[in-house]
Amino acid sequence: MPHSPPRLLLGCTLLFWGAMSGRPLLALFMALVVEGSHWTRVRWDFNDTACGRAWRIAVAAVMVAAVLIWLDGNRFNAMPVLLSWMPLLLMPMQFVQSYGMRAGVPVSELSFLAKRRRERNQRLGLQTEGGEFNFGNVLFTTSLVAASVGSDAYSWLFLPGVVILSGWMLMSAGRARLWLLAPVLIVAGLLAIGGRVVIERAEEWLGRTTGDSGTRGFDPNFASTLIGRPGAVRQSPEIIWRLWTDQPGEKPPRLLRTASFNTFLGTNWQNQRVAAVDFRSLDSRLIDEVAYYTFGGNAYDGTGPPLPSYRLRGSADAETPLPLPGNAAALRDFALDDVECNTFGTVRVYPTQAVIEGGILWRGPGNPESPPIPDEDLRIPLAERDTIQTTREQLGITPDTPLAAVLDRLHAFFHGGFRYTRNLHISHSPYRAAGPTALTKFLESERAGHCEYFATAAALILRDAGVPARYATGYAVIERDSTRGVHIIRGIHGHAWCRVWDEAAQRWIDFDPTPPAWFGSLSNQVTRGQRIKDALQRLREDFFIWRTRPENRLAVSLAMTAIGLAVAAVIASRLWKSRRQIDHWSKREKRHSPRTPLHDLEKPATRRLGIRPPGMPYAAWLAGLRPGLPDAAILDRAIVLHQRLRFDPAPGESDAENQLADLVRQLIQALRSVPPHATPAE
Amino acid sequence: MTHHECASRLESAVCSVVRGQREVVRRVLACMVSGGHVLLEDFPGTGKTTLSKAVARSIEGAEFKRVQFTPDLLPSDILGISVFDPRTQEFQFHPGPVFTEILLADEINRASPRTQSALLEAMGEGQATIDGKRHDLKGLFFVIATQNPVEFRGTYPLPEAQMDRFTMQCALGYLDAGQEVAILADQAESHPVERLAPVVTRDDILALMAAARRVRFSEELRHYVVRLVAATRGHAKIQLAASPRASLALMKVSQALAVFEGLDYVPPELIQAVATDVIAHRLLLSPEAKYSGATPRQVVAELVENTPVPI
Repeated sequence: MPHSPPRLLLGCTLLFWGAMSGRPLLALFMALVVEGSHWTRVRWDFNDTACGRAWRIAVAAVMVAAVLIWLDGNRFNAMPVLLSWMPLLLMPMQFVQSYGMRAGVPVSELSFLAKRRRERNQRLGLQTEGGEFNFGNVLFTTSLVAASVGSDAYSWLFLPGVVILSGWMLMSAGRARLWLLAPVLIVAGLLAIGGRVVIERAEEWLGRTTGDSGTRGFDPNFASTLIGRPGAVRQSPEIIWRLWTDQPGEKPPRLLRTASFNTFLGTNWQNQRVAAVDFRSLDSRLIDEVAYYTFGGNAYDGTGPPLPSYRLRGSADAETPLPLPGNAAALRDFALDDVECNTFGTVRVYPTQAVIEGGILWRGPGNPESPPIPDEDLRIPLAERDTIQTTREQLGITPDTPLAAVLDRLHAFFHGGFRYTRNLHISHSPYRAAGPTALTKFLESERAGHCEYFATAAALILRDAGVPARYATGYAVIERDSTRGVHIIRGIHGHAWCRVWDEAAQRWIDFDPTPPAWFGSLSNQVTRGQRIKDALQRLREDFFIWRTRPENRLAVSLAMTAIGLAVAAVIASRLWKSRRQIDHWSKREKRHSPRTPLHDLEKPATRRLGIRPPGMPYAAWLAGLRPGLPDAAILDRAIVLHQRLRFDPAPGESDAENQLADLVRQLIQALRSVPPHATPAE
Repeated sequence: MTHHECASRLESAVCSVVRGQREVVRRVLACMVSGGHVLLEDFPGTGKTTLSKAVARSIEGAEFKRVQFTPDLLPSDILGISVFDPRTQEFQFHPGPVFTEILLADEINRASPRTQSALLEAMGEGQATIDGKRHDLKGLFFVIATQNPVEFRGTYPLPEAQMDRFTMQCALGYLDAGQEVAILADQAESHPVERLAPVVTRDDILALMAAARRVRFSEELRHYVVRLVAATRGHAKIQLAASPRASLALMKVSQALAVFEGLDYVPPELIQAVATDVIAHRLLLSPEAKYSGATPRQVVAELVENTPVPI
């Protein structure tokens, strides 16, 4: 007989799962369902087919949940979320286990291969081993795993909980030897710690490999570059945002910035003055009953000529930076809890849903980015100064050269004599004394690099010319899906360029020094597999947006509820029918069966012997009490009287019932005086 | 001598020869007392023939015949034959071995189905029709058939109808070492069955049969018996289920067993004790169940375990 978890263990494990995953009420209900089987006589005669059916329902539930979680936008933590729901999804199997009449579920019904093997053996006339296992063990393990990925799994309760539950299980499996307790608990503790570490690693790994959207890898105050690091530039080909203009024929902005940085540290860019880069919430206002988020200063107020706009759609979670043009005016129509902006113009959102969509107005009067900070935006690292100055002088740029001419010369300089490459060869030397810096090598000898080199070099040359300049990162809008009229932004479209302060216009403008050849180098990076992933992602996001529209939300929830109720009704009606057959017999039994005083012994006996199997005669079951009784002859005599009263149509003795009642009283008293553990359970 | 004493005496006599098989012996004797027939299926040398001889020898005045079934055995070899007598110019009926009280049909599956079927009418109705003439069998007619479950070459499995005629199918099984040593000691000089003296008379057995019929059987347990047998119908593992004949047999055998237990009513334990022996051999398992290793006895045991019993 397969080993089954001891009574109450599964219920406690489910409650533990509920506590760790923040679903205490659901867990309590499930625990009551599972443990309730020990206290009720309602059973179903689930055969192999029913087990197979329950397994298919559980698998279908897992698949539906996976799709729903995926649709719900949890791309990065879909696996842990699915795992944390597993105990609920596996309940159909546990129901069959708890309320069926067999000790285990057949292995052959769960595995396609095992089923095929059994069928093959049947066809060939070979005998098959019908292996069975208790599903409670699976539920126990799954619940512990699910608890460890739960939202509250970092609380102090987690480790003791896992140790106690695992120890309880191991002790019951090891036939309860007290001297085993210490090693068992140590093993359970190690398992809990090890399992937690493995799960954390798995979560990290999953998060790393499933994409680079959202906040992952993004720091508004620090931009790590590949300057001075040889190797190929690797970026994800996954779609991060899709955008389309509101007016047909209108072009979207070419560069969408997520952050600007003003301090170059030799290899990386950062914003050093943290106080200046604190985020604050954007002002929101209603214009024509549409919610707008506008940028400070002379913000957009809905008056004046209409501004060009585009719509943006993509997955987002808390603190996801929005890609915006440098002269963005307002955000419109986004479903957000909050949206923040720092003085460097980085706008990040706190979405209410996993997929967001909204309009962005640009070329407006407002500007997300504050004016330059005099010292910061003109600073050039000491190691680069000579090269930068030499280059500036070669270009004939002086502090008096007008900005337009400066930009033209830089444009001609980089587009003429430099080559764009994604295979970098320059390695970094931090000081000129130790050899030329990466930027020096780029400007003087290599003359080949990727956008980060161009943007950094241009920013520093501009600074040397007295023009405040910043290094900006974001995306270039260069791919268009012409069949859908949508522009696509992928990870590989990530780009770096300069933000240049136009003193005359008192605003920052974009300047992209990278030769346009870089677009061409991306065309072959989107494989056929990626196209399929794109289609799935598009489907998911579009469905998500469609589903969350107010006019569709009611229909979707009604349809989902109807489907859920229909499935539940079919299952419940089938269960009801099969339950009624058993209930029918038991009712009939009660109607036809006269009670004898010995029936009063059933409850105390159940406490000692467990529930009587339905096919076990009462007398044979009660005989299990014999070893714990001081005088077993009383029980034997009572059983004889009971059998005669119950099953002899002509019982004869008139006072047999009184005699039996007397004997039963003695028996109940005897049982009270003997502690339950004195009687073997079986 | 009460019926219980009589039954105990018979049981003890048979058990003195068939060592360590008290439960099986009791069930076989109960089968005889219930008016049924038993099929003993077991490996060679487990005491099938000894058991039937011991039963026959323990009953004084009971006629015992033995037929060794072989492939060339004809129905007339069992039922008898009418032979033309030239002196009287008439056909003279020579009764076959079926006209006895205890018949040992040894290795019954070695004869052709045609010959096996010759026993059908005799076992079912206690009569034999030969050349269109009905011949009643004696009041006590008990067939003990034996067959070997492992040899299949040159055998003919019993037809389902024939199997249904057997009230019970039992197996003796191998004994433990201690019992086997006792058998060796018993047979050191002569076979104990030859030393066995009759302990009851043929009339005692007929009285026992009448007493078994009078054993009280509650309405509730009749429902239980029917429920148990009906559970075989529509069962996923069963292709051919048990007939009402099985319900009847289950009731009668449990009544007879009550006589051996000294009871004048039947408690549910007695029904469960004989349920597998009475029902299992009538079932034909579905090919899926058969090839996945299930046996009819296992299936019936499961049914007994799962069918709610009156308490």
